[in-house]
Amino acid sequence: MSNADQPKPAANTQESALRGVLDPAWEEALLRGRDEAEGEAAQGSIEPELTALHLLRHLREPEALSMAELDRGWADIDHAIAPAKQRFWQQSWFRWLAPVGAAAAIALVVVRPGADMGGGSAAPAVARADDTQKRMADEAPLPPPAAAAAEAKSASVDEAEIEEELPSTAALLERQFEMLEPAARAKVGASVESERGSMRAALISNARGGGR
Amino acid sequence: MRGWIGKLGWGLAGLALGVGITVVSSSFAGDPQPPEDSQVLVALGQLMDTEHRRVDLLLDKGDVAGAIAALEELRRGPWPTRKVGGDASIQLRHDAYGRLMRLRLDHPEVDPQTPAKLLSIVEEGLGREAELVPDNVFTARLVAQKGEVLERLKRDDDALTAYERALDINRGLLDDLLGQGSP
Repeated sequence: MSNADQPKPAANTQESALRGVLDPAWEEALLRGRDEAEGEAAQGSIEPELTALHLLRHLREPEALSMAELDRGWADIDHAIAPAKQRFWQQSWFRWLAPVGAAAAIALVVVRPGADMGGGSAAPAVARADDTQKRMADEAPLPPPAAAAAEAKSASVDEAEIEEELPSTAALLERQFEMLEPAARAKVGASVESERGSMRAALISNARGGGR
Repeated sequence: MRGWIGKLGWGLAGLALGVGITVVSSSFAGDPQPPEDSQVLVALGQLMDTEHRRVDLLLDKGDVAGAIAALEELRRGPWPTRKVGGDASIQLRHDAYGRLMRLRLDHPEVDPQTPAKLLSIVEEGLGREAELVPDNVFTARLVAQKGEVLERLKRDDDALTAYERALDINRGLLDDLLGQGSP
């Protein structure tokens, strides 16, 4: 063996080692050897070596996935990491809004009737108001407005009937205005007069203060 | 167990918040607003008296166009805010707009306006204060006139809503009036 031949065996050894990792013959020999040596009893005994072999192969030559396989993989991942679907009553906003809404509804029922308590119970007040409507309706040959209007709305009466109803309601409202107008003008006039009195008193007070 | 107590606590906090919001908002809506500046309300009251008499005279002469022009001039304002002039100033504004709208609706041939323009005039007159001032007949009339305009615009559902609102106001006012008259 010459000096010139000396590095060549080393290079061959390295090449064969590299090739050995990637060479499928190595794996086949390993499997064959296991089968010959121990048969069924050795099942799984070379699994760690095979796993390491597959890993080394992959590191050397990474296996590319097709687009379809990638998409399938991402779909699996998406499915695995998707948050559990919650019903609306399990959402956090519902836990806030439900009590607030319930409280508002309760307060509307409880607080608003309290405002009418000064004039007695609600039922007589409604009855008196209805009597007033009836009396006014008798005076003018007009149909009862609110009830008729509501019925027209809910029962989906034909358009011609609604058109006949609306001017009557407007006319009734104008008659109500004529009836209520004098008292309303007197009330507003009293407010203005009251403010005029306050203003006059302030002016007199200022004038006296200025004269001193 | 601790989780349930926490949830109950949040629920009670929400309940208290809801009650608070409702009570505060309803109390704001019903409060009468006195004028901040007496002079403003007094001056507006005098102006309205004068203008009503002027319009009465014009109508007696049969000058509907002149009456509408006078009320249009009045409409251009300026009008005091509710804070400065109080609820009474808003009622006076609704009164002026209501008289103008009555003339415009009864005499559509004089200075004709489109229903859309009439609706904008009514809504301008009502303003945001219509929901804040105590129930009164001037606001009710303007709301009813809004219903008439909506009816002309073929918006029957909106018209019915306006009429029902006006009727509700008048029902309460009539109830008060009858309550005062009875022993």
